[in-house]
Amino acid sequence: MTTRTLVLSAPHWPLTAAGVPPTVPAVVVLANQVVASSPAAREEGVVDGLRRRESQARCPQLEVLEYDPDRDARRFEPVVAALEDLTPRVEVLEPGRCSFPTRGPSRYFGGDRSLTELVAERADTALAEQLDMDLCPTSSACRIGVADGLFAAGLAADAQLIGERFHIVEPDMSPGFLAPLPVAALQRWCAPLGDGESLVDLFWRLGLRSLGRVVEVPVNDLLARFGPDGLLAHRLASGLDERPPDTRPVPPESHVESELDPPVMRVDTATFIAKALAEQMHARLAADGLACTRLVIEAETEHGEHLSRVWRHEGALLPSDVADRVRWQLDGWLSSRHRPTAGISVLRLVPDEVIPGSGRQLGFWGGQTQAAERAERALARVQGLLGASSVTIPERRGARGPVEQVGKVPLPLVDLTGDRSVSTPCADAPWPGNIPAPSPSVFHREPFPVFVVNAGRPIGVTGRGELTSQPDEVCFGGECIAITNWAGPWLVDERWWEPGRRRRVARLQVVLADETAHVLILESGKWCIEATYD
Amino acid sequence: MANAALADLKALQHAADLSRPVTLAKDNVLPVPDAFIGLLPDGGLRRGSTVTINGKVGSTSLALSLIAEASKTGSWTAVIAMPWLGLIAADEYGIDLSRVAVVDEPGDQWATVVAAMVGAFDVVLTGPPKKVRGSDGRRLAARMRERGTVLVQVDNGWSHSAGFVTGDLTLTTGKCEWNGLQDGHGRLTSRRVEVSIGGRGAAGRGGSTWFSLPNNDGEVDSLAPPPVVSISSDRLIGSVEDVAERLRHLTAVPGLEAG
Repeated sequence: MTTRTLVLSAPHWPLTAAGVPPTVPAVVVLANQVVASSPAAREEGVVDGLRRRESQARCPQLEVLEYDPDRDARRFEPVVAALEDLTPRVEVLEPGRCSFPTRGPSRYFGGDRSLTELVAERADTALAEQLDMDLCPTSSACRIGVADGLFAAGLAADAQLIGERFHIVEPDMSPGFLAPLPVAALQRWCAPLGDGESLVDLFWRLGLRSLGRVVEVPVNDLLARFGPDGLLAHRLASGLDERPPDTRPVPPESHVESELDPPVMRVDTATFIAKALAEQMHARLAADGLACTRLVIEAETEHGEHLSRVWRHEGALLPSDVADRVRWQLDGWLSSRHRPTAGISVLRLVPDEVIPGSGRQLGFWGGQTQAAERAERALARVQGLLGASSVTIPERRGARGPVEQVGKVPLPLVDLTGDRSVSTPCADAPWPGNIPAPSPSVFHREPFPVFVVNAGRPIGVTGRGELTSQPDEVCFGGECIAITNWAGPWLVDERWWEPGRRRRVARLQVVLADETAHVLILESGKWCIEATYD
Repeated sequence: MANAALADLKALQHAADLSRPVTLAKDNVLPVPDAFIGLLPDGGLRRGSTVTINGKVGSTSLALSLIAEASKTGSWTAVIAMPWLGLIAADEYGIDLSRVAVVDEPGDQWATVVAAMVGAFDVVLTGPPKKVRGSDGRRLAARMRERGTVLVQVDNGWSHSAGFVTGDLTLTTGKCEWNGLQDGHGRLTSRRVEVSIGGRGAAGRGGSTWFSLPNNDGEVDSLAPPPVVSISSDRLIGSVEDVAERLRHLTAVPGLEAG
């Protein structure tokens, strides 16, 4: 027994949300990697997962936008609102993707096909508004899939047939539709498996390369070998819902609400309350051993308007996920064209569907401390002020240059309160060519070009790694400072196997006559001050 | 009747006084490395205070080593408006990077961002902001006193400052000497830096100390001032004891220096 579901997916949504027409080559980057690319950029050979620099090399006129989940979610609200006339139960899966069960609406509007056409028409009008166009361009038009179960419908929306606007899998045909799809679909669509990546990897290596092959394995064996994850994979691959329907009502005492006085008209004010409410709800559910997978966000305004929206998540929603969704939703309501006429006076979170919470075991010696939670709350506030990727968390990485040894990871990718490591595995490996500690404490983001000279003649480094003569002075801007002491060069010849990223540099430590100490770097014949020992 | 009630009230007040948790001065201080205990008036970073660190050379290292002990013992550190900071150096001075959050570009909202961090973070390390209004600075200082966050401001001259919150304590680095390089050989290993103190209250006395920042183990040590010992040639050296006695005499009387 599965719920027949319609999934609507807006292709390359982050770009549509930013108002970029599909004919403009543009990408959205997160942590220096492309996460979404426009059709025009894809034609130039830009693919998701590419590094920023490399994608710019492939397409020089590329427009690069920062990843901003707030914008994505805010702009998606009008699209969801456009579908609300057709059915009351629209669930937002993530910005750019929503779904609803089709049983009722499909019968009312005369079948899946006519419902789908209606949905497509409404959604495309809303999308065209985002792009400030009269008609939504075909490459940005939403894709729709209808099938038994959310998993199959999502895949149907993604697997568009050529020349088709939407993909309708007839009732009871879902297993046949799923069977030839690659096993990676389990991970790509929703990563519902706790340890999703490694299980999909393992399936692949075991020769279970399509969903059909996974289904052929007896379910008892999958459960015995892989535990609940294996069972879930089998259920999804055979076209069932991820768990049998649970009709027990959610305990009403897990609803949380907050009266906002004075009423809130601004999103950043509401963010603070959202975080506190999310934690309150999480604590109440956790006390009953439950976790929330579907959440209703309700708001009432001073004028008695009632707003409500359902958000769904494949795994369990953590407090930070809930807070994010509340923030996005409020942002969507308050900045939409049909914004409420008065400030929001009541905010309510209702867990709509719960599952037994596997929970997280807290470390015996603290691990998750209150200080971390406080810090997280403060940082959420700063993110609200400056944008999602304004806050970063340092991570030690191995590298041969002092600058690359610590990377900064955007906060949305880090769970501050959970167990985490600040070092990548290769951070403590030996990196020959690296200047030993102490490391310089000031880096120059803009290269600071200088000349290193001996009696007025510039010096270099020979192919054998030796200086052509003793460095005497460092000159910049027509001014020269004597070098009192120096050491080096430290030579690095990195990534010679990769044509575009090869790097051949020499570094020098110098102490100048004005008591400052620097790392000088020589790359393609030019000296720069790379870092300073301050 | 009224007297009895009054007596009860007094007894109650006494009981309340006895049971109130005692806050000692040392609880209101964030720990610093041993080398700095003698330098700072409270033996540590007093919660709610503002420390300004400037000087041409060594101010960033001084700031990092000053907050390292607090970070090791569990405090969270926010690093604001210091996009140039080498976090690997912070790691080497002992700052626990798992309790560090970085905001590189607060733009015009420096005061708002710092205000959001106050209370949640024990230490806020910041570079010079683009601009701060005087009233914002005063409000921030009041908020920090109330919530017990220490603001450490670094002004090392690599970015230009327009305004700052007035510091309770000012540390200025002066002379500096690097060791370890030998004309093409060796590597930078240790450094000696002169640090002078100024500010309000007990810190107003001033004074300066030499530190090795870092020493050969990458840590911070306080040093005696560099010895200014020279023995005039007309005196003959008698015995080892004689020399030792004379050295003690010389270091005890600063300023005594012969050709």
